[in-house]
Amino acid sequence: MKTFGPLPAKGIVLAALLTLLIFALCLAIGPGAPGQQSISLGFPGWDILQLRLTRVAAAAIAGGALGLAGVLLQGLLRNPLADPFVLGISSGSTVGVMIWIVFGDVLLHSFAGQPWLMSFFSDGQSIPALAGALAATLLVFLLGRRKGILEPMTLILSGVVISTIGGALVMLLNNMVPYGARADILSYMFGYISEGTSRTLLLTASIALGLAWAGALTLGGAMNIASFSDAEAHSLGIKLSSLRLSAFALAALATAASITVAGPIGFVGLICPHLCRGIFGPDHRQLLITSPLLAAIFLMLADTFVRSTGAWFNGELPVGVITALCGGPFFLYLLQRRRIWM
Amino acid sequence: MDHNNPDFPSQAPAAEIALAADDLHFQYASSSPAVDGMTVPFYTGEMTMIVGPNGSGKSTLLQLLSGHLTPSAGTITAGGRNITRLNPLKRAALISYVPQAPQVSFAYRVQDIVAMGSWARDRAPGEKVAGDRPGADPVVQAMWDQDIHALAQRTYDELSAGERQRVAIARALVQDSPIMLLDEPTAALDIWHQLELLHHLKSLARSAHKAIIWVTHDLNHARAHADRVLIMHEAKLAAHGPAHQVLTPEILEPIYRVHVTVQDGKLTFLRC
Repeated sequence: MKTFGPLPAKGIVLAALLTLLIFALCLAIGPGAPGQQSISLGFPGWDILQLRLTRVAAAAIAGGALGLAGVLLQGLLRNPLADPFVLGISSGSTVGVMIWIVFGDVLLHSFAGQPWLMSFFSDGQSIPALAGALAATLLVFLLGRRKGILEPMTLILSGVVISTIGGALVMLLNNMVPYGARADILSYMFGYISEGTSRTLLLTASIALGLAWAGALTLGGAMNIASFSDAEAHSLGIKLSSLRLSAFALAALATAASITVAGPIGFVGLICPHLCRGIFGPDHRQLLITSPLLAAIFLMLADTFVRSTGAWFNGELPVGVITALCGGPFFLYLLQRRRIWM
Repeated sequence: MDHNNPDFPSQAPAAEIALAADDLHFQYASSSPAVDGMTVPFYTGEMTMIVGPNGSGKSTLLQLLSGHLTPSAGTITAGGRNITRLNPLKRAALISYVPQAPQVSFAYRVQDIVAMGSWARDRAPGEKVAGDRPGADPVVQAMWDQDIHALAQRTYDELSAGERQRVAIARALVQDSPIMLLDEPTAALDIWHQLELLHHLKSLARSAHKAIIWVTHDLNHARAHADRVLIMHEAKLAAHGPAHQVLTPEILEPIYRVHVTVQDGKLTFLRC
C-alpha cells in the first residue's frame, strides 16, 4: 500500500475533457456583435470569435491560476480560509492600480523619452497591478518568517494586516482621484476580464501558470505530509523550510498570472480547493490537478454569464461580483454541511 | 505489573550506542535553559524511559533528539553522524518520532496517515518501492499491531485521543527506523492498549534491535519495563541507569517532593 495509491487516471482525463468542452461551449455563447443586446448560441464570424477566444482564454488562465494558488496556500498555511487574497496580494494589486490612476500621467510623461518603457505600460492596469501584487507578496513573505522558515500563523496574520493597510491606502488614494474616475476603481477591485487583453499578456500569463503548475505537481506528496505538525513532518523526512518556500513562490507566481489578466477575483481560489476536497478527498497530488481545472471551468462560466448579460445590468458586471455571489453562499452551505474539514 | 516477564531477559545484552547526546544545551527565546548540558547515550536493543517532573525538559530533549529542534550547543550523533546537520530525509531513515498529541490538518483516512510513514524509506537510494517487500504489507501490519485495522477507512477527525495516538504509533512503525522516540505514548491509552504497546515495543527493541526512547510520567511502568531510566530535573540529567538502581526513594523524593516507598517492587507515593 503506497501513500493514497495511484492517481485515478480516468477521473483526471475526464476532468480535463470536461474543461475543454466547457471552453468550447463558452466560445459558442455570447452576444453576436459588440454592444448587441441579444444572446446567440453558435459560432459567429472570426472577428467576434477572436474577441471571445481572448476572453475565454483569459478566464481559463486566471481561474486555473487561482485554483492552483488556493490549493498551495491552504496546504501551506494549514488553514481553510487561505486564498491568494487573504495574504494581502489582491489589496497590493489594487494599491498598484490606484497609484497608477493617481500618478500614472506623471509617470508616463517622465517615460516619454523611453518608448520601451512606454510600451511596457500600454496594457493599462496590468503592469501596475502586477507590481503592487508582487510588492505585497514580498512584504508578507519577509514578515511571515520566523528563524528563517515561513511560519503559517505569522504569515496569515501578516497577510491580513497588510490587506487592511492596503485597503486604507486605496481609500486614501481614492480621495485624491476626481469623482469621475472612481467608478473604475470599484470595478477593478472586483476583478474583470476584458476582450482587450493583449496576446503578449495572455502568453506571458499562460507561461507563468504553466511553470507554476508544473512545479506544484512535484510538491503534492510532500504537502500531504506537511499537513501534520511541524515536528511530525520533519521527523517523517520533509524539509519544511524549502517546501514552504517553493509552495509560497509558486502560489505567488500563479496569483500574479491571474491578476495580470483578470485583476483581483475573489472566492475562486478559496472555494475550488474545498469543492475538490469534498469530491476527490484531501490528497494534494490530486487537488493540484483537479482544483485548477475546476476553477478554470467556474471562471469561464461566470465570465460567459457577465459577458452575455450586459443588457440586463446597464453594462457588464465585473466577473468578481458573480464569483462572490455564487461562491459565497456555496461556501456557507459547505460550512453548514460540515463538508469543510474539521 | 509483571516484573519478571518471561518473554524478555531482564537485562538486555551489552549493546552498542544508537544515539548519543553530548553536552546538549537548548533554550527557548528569553527563558531559562530547557536542556542544560546533558550528556547521555541511548543503546541499541534497549528501551529507555525518560521521566521527570512537569517542565523538567523531557519533551524538549525528545524534540532535540528527533532533530526538529536545533541545539544551541552540543551535538547529537547517530550512526557516527551529527543528526542536526543531516537532511530530514536521511534523518527520517534513522529516527522516528511520535508526539504527545499528533496533529493532522486535513480529513485524511487512517490508512493514508499510516502509509505516509514510508515517505523517507520509499525515497531512500537503492530501495525498491514498499510493494516489492516480501511478506505482509507494512501498513496493514502496523494497523493490526496498533489495533486500528477496523478504523482504516475512518477519517482522523472522527477518532478519539487514544486512537489518534495509536495511528501516530502505527505511522512510526511503518517508518521502521532503528531509533524510535515517543512522547508519552500511553497517556491517552486504556490499560489493555498500554500493556500491548509496552510488550510490542520491547519485543521490537529485542528482536529488531531498535533503540526505543520514550517519555512517561508513570514511574511504575518505567520501573517494570524500562531497561534504563533517565531522570530529568530542572533541565539537567539527575540520574541515568538501570531502572531499579535509579527509581529509588533516595533519588525520587527530592526531585518529586513526595514520600516514596517501595513495596513488592512497586513504588507508592504520598504527599509530604
